[in-house]
Amino acid sequence: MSKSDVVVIGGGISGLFAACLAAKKKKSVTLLSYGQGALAVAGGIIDIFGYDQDGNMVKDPLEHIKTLALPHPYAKIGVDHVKEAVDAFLNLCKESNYPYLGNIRENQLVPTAIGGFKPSCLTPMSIDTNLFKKCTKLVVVDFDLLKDFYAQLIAEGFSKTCPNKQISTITVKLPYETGPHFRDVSALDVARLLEDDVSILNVIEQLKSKASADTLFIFPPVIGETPNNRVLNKLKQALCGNVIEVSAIPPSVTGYRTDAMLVKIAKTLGVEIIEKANVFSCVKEGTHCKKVLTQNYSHVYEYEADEFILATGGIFGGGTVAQMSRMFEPIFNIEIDVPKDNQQWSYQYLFTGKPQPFATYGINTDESLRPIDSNNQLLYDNVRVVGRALGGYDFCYEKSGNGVAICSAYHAIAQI
Amino acid sequence: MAKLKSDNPDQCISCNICLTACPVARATRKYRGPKLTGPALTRLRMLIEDQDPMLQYCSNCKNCDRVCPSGTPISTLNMKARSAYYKKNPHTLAEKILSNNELMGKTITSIPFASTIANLGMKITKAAGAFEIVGMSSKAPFPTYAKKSFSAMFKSISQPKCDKKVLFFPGCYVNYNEPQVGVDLVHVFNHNNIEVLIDDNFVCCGSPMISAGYIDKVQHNADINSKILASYAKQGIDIITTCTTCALILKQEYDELFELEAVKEYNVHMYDAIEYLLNMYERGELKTDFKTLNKKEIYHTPCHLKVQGYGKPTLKLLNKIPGVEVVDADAGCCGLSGIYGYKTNTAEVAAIVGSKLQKTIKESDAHEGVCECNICRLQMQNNTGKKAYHPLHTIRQAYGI
Repeated sequence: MSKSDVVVIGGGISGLFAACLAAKKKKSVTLLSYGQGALAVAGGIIDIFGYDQDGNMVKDPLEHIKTLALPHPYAKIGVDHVKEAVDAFLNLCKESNYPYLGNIRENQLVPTAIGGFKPSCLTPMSIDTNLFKKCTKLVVVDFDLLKDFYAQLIAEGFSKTCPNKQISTITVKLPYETGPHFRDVSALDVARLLEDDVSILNVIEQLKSKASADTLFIFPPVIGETPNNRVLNKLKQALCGNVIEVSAIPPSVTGYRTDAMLVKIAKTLGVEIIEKANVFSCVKEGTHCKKVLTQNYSHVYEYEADEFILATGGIFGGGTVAQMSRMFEPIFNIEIDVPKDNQQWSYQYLFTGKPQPFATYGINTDESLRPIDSNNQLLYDNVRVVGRALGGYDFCYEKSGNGVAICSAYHAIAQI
Repeated sequence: MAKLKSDNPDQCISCNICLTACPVARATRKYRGPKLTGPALTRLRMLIEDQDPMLQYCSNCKNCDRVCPSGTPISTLNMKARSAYYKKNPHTLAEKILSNNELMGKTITSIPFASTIANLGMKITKAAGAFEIVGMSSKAPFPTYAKKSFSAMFKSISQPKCDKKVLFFPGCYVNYNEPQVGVDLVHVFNHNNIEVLIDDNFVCCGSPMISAGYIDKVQHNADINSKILASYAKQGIDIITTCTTCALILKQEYDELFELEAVKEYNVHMYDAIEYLLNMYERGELKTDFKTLNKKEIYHTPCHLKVQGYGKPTLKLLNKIPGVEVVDADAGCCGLSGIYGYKTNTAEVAAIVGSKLQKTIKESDAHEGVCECNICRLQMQNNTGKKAYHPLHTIRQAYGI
């Protein structure tokens, strides 16, 4: 049986960030993950708070967070810890040589894969939204054979959202073999190819005649596989500094890099990562969790700790389970308060700008993020819930997902 | 017992995480990737017969299974589809030869001097280019045969009588290629007052046959092995493996492929040798009369160990030995993946996959490599200028026995 100060369950952004913060506090940390976290295929930008309850874009996320009431997780975390969490995240990225841009007082307008914009707060260097403000000409860069990226659609989108800019597309050809015996080219394939010094020169060669001080090259998410901005800096050097990525459908390389960065930091800080750890139950004494249990096709493994961080995600990630008339968390067996009538869980008209009730369902906690039951009785004194397993917020409607993830992780670790 | 996900392609939510972790997809575009080849096309295969030659590119390394958040048995869906493919298409000569590892090993190690002749013969045929003719790569690091099999050597070891007994499943590689691993195991366990049993009725776990598309033949082996394993487990005897692939096949794949009930009776009694020793250490039961060794080792985690969900016991245990520093290579898959790295059509991919590990080991200031998996060790020694050992070697050395 393994014994550590902190056991983190879940290897997505909230679990990885919590593990890194705990390890920075000189705690021995074991991270149990079953499957890689969704961060590896997600966009990698950090939304803090994008839209208010009426669907209006929020200008200053921090000011808006001050107005939130319980049970919203931000109201439990508090403004101070939200600020400190964002600083801690920015510092961690900087120390790892993969700095993020942005600050908590301002939302940025991040370009999307259909030529629109969405509000977000922190972005990697490859998504420097200031370049968009500066440049008057936009060149959407397509790669021949690259699937799931539609340069023409993006250009048409920008022609509506940025009517004063001059917009064009260009297709870069790379020496990919073609035919029925070859896989389609994904953004990750191109990103890996661009790590190669000769291939990147080939790309630059095809683009540099269009480069100028006010021309912005809009790339698919292909600007390098490793979180070190090496490929980005090379492209910027050759293209007057004006290079930006938009995210595309999975595998979206922007999140892949951020995931790789956090895993690297966790390993460097001595976090023991146990992959494919199927946590199925816990052992408790009163309200105190002693250990959690894992099992695959073998005997049971026990992981003992003083503190437990539950970062297993929501229904999509398997952190909570939905059944008829019931929703629950399966490891600590926590019932989630939901309407008995499943019809009330959802709003029947999709894409009408209305939030979905089920999106806010999750574990209810006290202000230190420890789970409580419907009578506000504490269920565990040493288990803290972080990320999407928390109830009381709608990450999709608010655009607050990664923000709640990093802030709840920070708030949880600050107390242990 | 935790309820695990069933063998169902619809477990897959098409998130594509497996594609990002697949070492083969990274090395070549001739492979479509785990999600499409496995669950996505399995749905179609349920409707129409599939004649997809791309199936040969899955190396069954199981990195897709490791990263899958939904518990989809992606690699097993691939292996099942490959086996179905070979019902209609001919096997290559290399697949026929390489999947007969057990018969070759048994024959060669049972005849005096046969291993010397076979090893020499292998060198000559390689040099003469005959390997390529049958579809095997002459560049791949082939194992050599031992003079005497492990079961023959085991009989000449006089073990102390101990109350505590474990059953050892040596697997073909320890039996016929590197019996020293098994000998080290017996000495290390004996030193800790544990007697090691072996059973002469065990047969090959079947891994090379699964890779070569002969799943039907494996069922026979699964029936034999699972009955023996269950009979020991019923007596409360723990089962020890040193080969991480054998362990995975016995614990998990017999269940995934054939739904053998007996698997559940014995898999809760199965332990990797180092995992077993680390558990003893954590309970304060392992002897720690280690000598100081003064060496640095670079550790490579086999993919087939990573997917079993118990971390890296070797890294923890070896670092308890005074004077031993073990660093984690963290350099991905070795590429060889059983017979995959030896067939001409996939050896090139295996070489690209394994190059990162080789480079990491070569450039490391460690004195030697250490790894549980037999085939991984061959790649770790391949053009790196370093030897690679099973962790039991270091432990036995530290005990000075």
